Amino acid sequence: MGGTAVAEQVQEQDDVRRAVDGDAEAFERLYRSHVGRVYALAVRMVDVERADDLTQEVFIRAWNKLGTFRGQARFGTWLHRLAVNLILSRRETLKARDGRRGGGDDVVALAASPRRERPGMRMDLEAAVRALPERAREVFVLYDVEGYSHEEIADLMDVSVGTSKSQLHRARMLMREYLEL
Amino acid sequence: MDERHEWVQERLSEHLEGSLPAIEEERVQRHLAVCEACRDVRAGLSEVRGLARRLGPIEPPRDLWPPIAAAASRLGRPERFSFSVPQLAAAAVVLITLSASSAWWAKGGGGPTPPASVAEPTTAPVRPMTAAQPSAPVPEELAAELDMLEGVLLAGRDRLDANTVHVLERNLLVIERAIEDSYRALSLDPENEFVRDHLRRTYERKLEYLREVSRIVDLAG
Amino acid sequence: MSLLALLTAVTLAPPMTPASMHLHVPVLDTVVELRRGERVILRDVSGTVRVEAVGGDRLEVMSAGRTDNVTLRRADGRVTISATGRGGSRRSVDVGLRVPAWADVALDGVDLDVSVRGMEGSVTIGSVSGDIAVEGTAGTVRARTLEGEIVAESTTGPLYLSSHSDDVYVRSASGPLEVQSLDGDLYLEELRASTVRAETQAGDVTFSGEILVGGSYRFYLHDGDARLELPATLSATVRVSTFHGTFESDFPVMVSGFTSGRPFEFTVGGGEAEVRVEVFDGEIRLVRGN
Repeated sequence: MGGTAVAEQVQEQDDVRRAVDGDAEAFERLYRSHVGRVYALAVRMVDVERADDLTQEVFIRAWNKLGTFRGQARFGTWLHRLAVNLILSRRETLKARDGRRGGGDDVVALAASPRRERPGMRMDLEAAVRALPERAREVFVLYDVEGYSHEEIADLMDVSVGTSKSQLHRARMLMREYLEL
Repeated sequence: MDERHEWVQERLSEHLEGSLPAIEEERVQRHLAVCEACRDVRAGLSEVRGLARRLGPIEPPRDLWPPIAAAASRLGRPERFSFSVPQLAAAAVVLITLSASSAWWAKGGGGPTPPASVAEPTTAPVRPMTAAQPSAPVPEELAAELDMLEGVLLAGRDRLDANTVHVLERNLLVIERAIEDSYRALSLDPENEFVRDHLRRTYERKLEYLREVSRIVDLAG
Repeated sequence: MSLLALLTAVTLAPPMTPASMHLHVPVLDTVVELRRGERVILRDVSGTVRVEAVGGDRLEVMSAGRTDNVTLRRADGRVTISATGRGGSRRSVDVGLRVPAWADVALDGVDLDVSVRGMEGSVTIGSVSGDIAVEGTAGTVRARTLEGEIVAESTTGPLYLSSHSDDVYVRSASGPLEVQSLDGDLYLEELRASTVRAETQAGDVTFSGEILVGGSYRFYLHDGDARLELPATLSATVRVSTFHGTFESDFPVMVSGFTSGRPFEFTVGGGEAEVRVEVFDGEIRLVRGN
């Protein structure tokens, strides 16, 4: 590991210790370091409209539970797992409300413009991810984007490993179609 | 589509991961050697995989920090966890059960895990919240029965069929979610009597629900 | 009298031609003369049970399918019907009961669909998985199911209905009503009740009906929308509470002082009834009806 990366990790460990002691500035530094990844997860797993709220919920919960972080894993890994758990648990309630209100439309999602301007392929790619059916999207994001294993995904989503594999394949085939590859 | 193509294409993701059984891998490779269409599909899937791995963080278009800072300020210091479950007050056990249980139930965790265990990886147990926290939201007169009934469900789930357990846990998640929403609202607006009453009503609903669950566990014999 | 006090197991009689109860393969029919005050209990059954109120004092039990393990016991003011298979396990049944309207009835089971029509005595139903339908009852009805819909129509007695995972429908009820779901919608239509209490944690509530003078109408939601169609001649104090939601009203709203996220109250007409709507996160709509 390079010198800069080591220094960053040491700084992060120090910030976690300070944050556990109630140092909000230290927690803000942790927030700034990791918000991009958490926000991306919320956007891709759920949608842009709810990503702000979900991101804030993740960090508020992280603040509450900092005392349980024992340092066995990197802080980013711990935070990310917390974010995945929260987002997956929130989606049931969000889905129930959407169902009662008529739900979203995958075709519309593909055509909608994202909130930020992004050049060429990446704009299509993000939109294509958001157009995937829910289960397939969740597995695709967790496996191909975030690097979780099928066993971990099965545990997180309370499905079988076989289901995780088949949903991943379904997602990739649809992405290939959406992106015309 | 020809059955052979379909059979092969269904396995292309696992083929790319290198996780097919040897016999299936050999069959896929034999087919790909002679089938351009399936090779195209494989190339497409491989490209999707590559593109996905390059997807990185997305910075939020606006600064989300201020409400987080405000919540952290109201909530006070993060919870610290110290030792010895037997020394816990009943209210503290219920609080930990609350904060952990939504993750616990969402994962469908099994076995007689004691309510005081938290879902996030830790070995550290619990002590009561500090005075800096909002006043304890669990109505004292409900805490002991809530704790006892949660224990009934934990102990009895092996007697229930998988679908019933799934429904029970999903419903409990709905209540836990409502409690968390209300608790968070109360921490942002501690003087809000409506939210306080709403939280209390939700706890009473949880109690009623767990009593019903207990009846269902009894019916299972 | 001592004989009557003993526990008596009665094996159901051989097949007879049954009265019509929409059963296509009636196998069994038995008749019991009830004494006034005796309760009818179906315990620990699975399958389908239909209860129909009749005049007089005769209880008729009809069952399709195998009946060798359907038992009827009589003791302590109760007539108890249960069905067990080998080793004491539950057997699925299809049972029709014609019950004297005055009798109290209690049904309890795991996978149990129940329909009840016309009873004047109290009706208590507990199911884990199954739908419950009640029509034309005048007595108190208490029905709960973990997973299944509850439908009540044209009732005049008090209703206490609870489905945890599904929707509840109540139409043309005039007795006091308490209805709840945990993860389901509540549809309350054409009510003429003086007391209504509806609660759901994750679901919508739709209400239409009369708001009676002196009545109390309370709606509690956590995450869902409340749509209340209230009479154009509404006379009520209305209290609205929402922490994270929206409010829309066809009725004029005048409040002095308003704080976002806190309750507010206003009066329509003479303020002769109480309407209370509490939605933690969702829409509240007051619609003017006819």
